[in-house]
Amino acid sequence: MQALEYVKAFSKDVRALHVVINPDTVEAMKREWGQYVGDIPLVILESPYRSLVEPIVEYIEAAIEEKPDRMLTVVVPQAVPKYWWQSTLHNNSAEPIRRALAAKRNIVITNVRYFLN
Amino acid sequence: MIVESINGIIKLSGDLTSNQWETIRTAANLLRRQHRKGVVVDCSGLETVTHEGAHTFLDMLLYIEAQNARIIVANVPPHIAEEIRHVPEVRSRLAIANSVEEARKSLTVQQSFSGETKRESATLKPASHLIVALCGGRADRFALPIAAAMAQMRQLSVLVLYPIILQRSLPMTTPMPDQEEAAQESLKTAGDFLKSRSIQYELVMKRGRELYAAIEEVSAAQQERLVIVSLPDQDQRKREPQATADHLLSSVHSELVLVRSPLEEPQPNGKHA
Repeated sequence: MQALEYVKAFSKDVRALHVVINPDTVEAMKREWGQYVGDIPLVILESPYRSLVEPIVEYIEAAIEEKPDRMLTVVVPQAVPKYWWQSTLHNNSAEPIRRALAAKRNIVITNVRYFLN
Repeated sequence: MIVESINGIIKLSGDLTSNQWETIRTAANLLRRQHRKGVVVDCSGLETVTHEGAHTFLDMLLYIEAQNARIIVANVPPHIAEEIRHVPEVRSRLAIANSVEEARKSLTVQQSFSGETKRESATLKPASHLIVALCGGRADRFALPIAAAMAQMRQLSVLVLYPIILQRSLPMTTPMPDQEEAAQESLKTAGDFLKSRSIQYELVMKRGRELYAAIEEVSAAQQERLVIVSLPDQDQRKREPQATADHLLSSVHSELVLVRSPLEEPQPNGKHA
């Protein structure tokens, strides 16, 4: 939610991406999105090989191809654990996404942290 | 607003309150890489749409027309369709399929006849071919052998045309899966028939408002030597086949052969032959 608030502050064209790893969770995700967010479009992408990074990178690449001159900001929420052992309990996806996008042109990567208390 | 890319379909759900075409376009383009047949945009999950949101469909329409993109909108709930109709250009030009299945069927046929034309031979040269127009009527089975005989006699190749006729109230790109499937089947049969006689051919599916208009349009674009038309079956309400014959007699510049099936003779017991 913090990442969404942050991104809404500086752009009108905001899109949230969600990659489906477990199809059983999609309906709940859609319901909660409508309930708590609503005004930002949520793009749900399939991941046939259960990869989180690949569909996101492909979508971002497709968006850049459509308008090669635009600068695109990718906001990645990143969990910050209070204790070191908490990091083992959280599937922190920010780092692999950041690594995959690092070498791409016209992309700014912003990490928005959220603290685990 | 949720844009879900799943099983080769873009599914829209929630409230469409602003123009979201750019968001949808990226998802659609991504999907088109994997599904070359084309993409179906399923709107069954849309709950509300505002006037601004309805402009999503205008931008979609302009993109489809500019890129000749295979994107078909399907399953639009009636109250959403009503709002979309308030956007003037969308009302008359955006084709909407009744169901995802119908849209998929149409995309499959469109893929087979990419760009409305399937070439099975070298490109037809001017004055080196004849056109045979089929209409799905009883006369088709008479027209094709005549076309084959004329092609062999004059050493011409054959352009087999099957017009898809749409009512004036429908946008020209409206999926017509049943007609398209029938056309595909007829064209395939015609192609096999000509191939078996070693005649070079080209298959064309053409959309039009009237049968004669579609034939005239193809004829005007081609420099054919001869046009053979399989006239539609008798229909007193549409004044067929006279109406088509009258139009073609006055508008086709090349040689013209009109083929009519034998008239049905009433049987003594009241049944037709």
